Amino acid sequence: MKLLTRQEELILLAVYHLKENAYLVTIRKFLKMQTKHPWSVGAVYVPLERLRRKGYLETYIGGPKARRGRNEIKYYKLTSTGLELLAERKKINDILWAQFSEMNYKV
Amino acid sequence: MKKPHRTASSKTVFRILRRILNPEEAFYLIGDINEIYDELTEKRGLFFAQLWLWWQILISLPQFFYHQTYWSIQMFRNYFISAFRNLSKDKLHSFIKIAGLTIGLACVFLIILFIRYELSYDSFNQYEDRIYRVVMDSMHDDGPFSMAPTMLPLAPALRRDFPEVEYAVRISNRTSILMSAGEHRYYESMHFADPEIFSIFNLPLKLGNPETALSQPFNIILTEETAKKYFGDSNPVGKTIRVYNLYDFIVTGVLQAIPDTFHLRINMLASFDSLKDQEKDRWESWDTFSNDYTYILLRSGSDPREMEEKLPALQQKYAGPDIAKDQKLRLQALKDIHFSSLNYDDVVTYEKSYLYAFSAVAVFILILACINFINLAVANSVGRIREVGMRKVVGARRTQLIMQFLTESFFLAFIAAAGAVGLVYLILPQFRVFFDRQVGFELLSDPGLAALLLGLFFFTGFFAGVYPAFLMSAKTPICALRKKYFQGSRRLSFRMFFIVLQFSVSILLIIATMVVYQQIGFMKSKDLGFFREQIIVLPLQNSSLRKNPEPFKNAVKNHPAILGITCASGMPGSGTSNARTYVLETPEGDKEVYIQTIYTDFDFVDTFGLKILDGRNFSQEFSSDLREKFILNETAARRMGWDSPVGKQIDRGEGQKGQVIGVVEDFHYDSMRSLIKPIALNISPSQLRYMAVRIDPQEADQVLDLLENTWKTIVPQYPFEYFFMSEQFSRYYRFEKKIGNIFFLFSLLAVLISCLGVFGLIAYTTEQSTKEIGMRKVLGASTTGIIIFLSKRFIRWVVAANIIAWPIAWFVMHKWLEGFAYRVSINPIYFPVAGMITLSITLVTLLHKAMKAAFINPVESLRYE
Repeated sequence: MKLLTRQEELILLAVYHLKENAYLVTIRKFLKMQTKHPWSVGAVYVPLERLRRKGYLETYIGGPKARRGRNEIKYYKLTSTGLELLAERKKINDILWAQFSEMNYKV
Repeated sequence: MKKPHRTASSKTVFRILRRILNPEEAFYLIGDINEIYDELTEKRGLFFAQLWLWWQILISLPQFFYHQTYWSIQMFRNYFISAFRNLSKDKLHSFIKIAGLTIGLACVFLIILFIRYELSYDSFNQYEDRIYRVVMDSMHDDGPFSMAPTMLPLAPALRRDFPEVEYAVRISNRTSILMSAGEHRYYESMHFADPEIFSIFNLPLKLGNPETALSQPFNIILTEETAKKYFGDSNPVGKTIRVYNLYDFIVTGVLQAIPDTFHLRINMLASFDSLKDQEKDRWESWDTFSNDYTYILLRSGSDPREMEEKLPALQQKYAGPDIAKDQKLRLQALKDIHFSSLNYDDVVTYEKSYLYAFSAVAVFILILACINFINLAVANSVGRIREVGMRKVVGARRTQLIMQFLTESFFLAFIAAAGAVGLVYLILPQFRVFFDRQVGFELLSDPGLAALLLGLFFFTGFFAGVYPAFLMSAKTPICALRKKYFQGSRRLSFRMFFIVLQFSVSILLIIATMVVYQQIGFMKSKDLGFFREQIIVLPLQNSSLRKNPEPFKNAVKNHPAILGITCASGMPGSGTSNARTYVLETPEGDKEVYIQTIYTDFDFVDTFGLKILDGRNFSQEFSSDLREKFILNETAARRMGWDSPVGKQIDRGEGQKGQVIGVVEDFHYDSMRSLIKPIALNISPSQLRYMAVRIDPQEADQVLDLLENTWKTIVPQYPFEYFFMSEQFSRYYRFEKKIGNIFFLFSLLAVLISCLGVFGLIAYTTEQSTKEIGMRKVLGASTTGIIIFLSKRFIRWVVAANIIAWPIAWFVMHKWLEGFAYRVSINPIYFPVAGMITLSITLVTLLHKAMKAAFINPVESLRYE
């Protein structure tokens, strides 16, 4: 399997959840909300671009919204490999996380 | 829709972002950031939002710089690779380019080394800025006569009376002194000095104590070299060295090696008090001087001008008003001594004007080499125009192209500079011999020099590269890809200017070379007014012959190959003589005239073949001819102001009367640089220093054997030495000859470099007009016609260069010749000759390319492109 960092995994999941509204600002907002962690712009943008180069994400251009000046939006979308990867990750995670309980381990 | 919260500061941030972000992504990202910014403004306020914006810039800086450097390095690597490929593609062209620059740079490096060396004279002295030499201007009717020697009591008086003088020293020089220690006997030049010399100059002792080494009479300090010569490897301190078989000097120390940038050439230093016996008469005299020089070290902070103003008072006090009126003392800074030209001086000097001339030549050569580089680069760029177009199409920016071309020229300049450094190392030994200077080239231990050369390298790289870079990068891609080069004639006229400049410099140097050689030839061949070629001179040293040369003369004078023999106090070409004041009684009162006097015997006029114009020669028959009678040269007679000088009385000082018995035609006693001086001949057998023998040149060997054998029987204790007078005279012009050779070399170089330029330019023009040539041929032009068509422009330029160079050359060489009292008038034929030389060399360079272009099948040239 392809290894992903935790950040990359989270970003892919964010794109998955945001569906048609996945672009830099919304992805960052989503992650901030879910993880309660301050994500910087770069921390989102750089992995996004990396994932795109690796072929898990693709982009398309959408019309500008208010508050953006006349600048268009670059939306992100999962590719089929990206989706397969997420599925694979879920399977592995499920196996590894199964039977996890804080009680079973003495610290 | 709400209005965006734009402020001046946020606008700045967005402007910065637009510049630094990847242009493909910038729009989206700026949009995104804009959105976040607006949201933040609503939620947390404008201030916070702006803070956040700036923070974004700040945190991205490290990454930004990293990227910048990384990609510039990548691009540089690419530039280097393409530079290297371009170089190896056209090896001949690259070689010419680099070779021209290498030679030019090597030349400039050498000149810089030489100039720096000359300027570094005496700078090894710690108190360089505070050391002065006291010199004297002797006031004459025809202006001041500056001389280096000063009187002996001056230094002690300065020490006594001037609190600002920290130390004062007398240094005296005596040449041709016979010294012996055991078996070793040599003629030496000897310096005498007060012990203060060590407090003023940085002359460290290897052995001995500087405080005491020169404190007693007849103490002597040797240099290591001299010590080795006399005593081998043993310790010389405490040993004795004999001077003239009369005085015993005790060696009290050994000097460490003296830097050769010291203006005095010291072999040995004896204590000044050793001279006291010999110089009894002059020891306290404020009126006479010989080879004695006074140096002072001023206390730090005292003003030399102020001190200078107090010197007349000193003379008033000690010498009295009469002498003080005639002699003006002044201070000469240590760093000026090397460039001074005072009379009766005894130091290594160099004329500063030649340093300026060399600097000018260095700049010229560098500019020539750079222009050449530019011309060749532009010519070469014809083949590279497609590369530029291609680069533009795939997105190269103009600055990137400029950078590329600059990198290339720096790359070449680097190779050339490295080559030049190598070349300098190679040439340096010959260079040292040629200039008789131990010029050093230590790049590693001399940061100033290294910085200078580095600066030169940067200048060359930039100067040579910047014009082609801007020219090439200015093409629009379409233009470049269609191989349309330069529309209009503006570009060409710029380069025409370069070519004309190059040729002007070449022509200037060629003419200069010819004029210098002409002047040397003139000085060597000019009739000096006496027999010069067949005369052998024997220095009499201090031998008994000096007092009475008759036994020697009688022993050899009957030999058939000896045509004449005479002794005198000075010889033509040897420069030594005594200037004396003669007093004439005129109706208006006494008139003083300075005349050089040669003390001689009865045979001087005959031996040298001087022409007697009036009166008679000295004769043994008149006993009063001894001492009392004088023969003047024409100049002296004129100076005296008499119409018929023969028979006139003169006062030769101290009330002794004399009478003029004859006048001889002027003859050149000194170098051609100076006017013939007034000279008087006087018979005085006790002052003889040289013997001159006129011989039959066919039997020179035989005569020399005879002279040597006779010398050995009469004065065996003195080594036999001789020289030919003609050699002595040609030594006067050694320096001019060097200048001539240097100009010859430089003109060769300039012509070579100009030819390289022409070669590059013709390649460019023929390439550019390939199609035109094809058309012309199709329409019936002859081969000759095409060759003429291609070359006539160049010929026009060379002619223009001639017109520019001729007046400049005439002016410059006229100025140079003014330094000679006896000079040639510049031969006008030199101007057209220089023009013809450059023209024919240009044609030879042109013809190859032009003919190739002319003979080509028109089908080929029309198919071109």
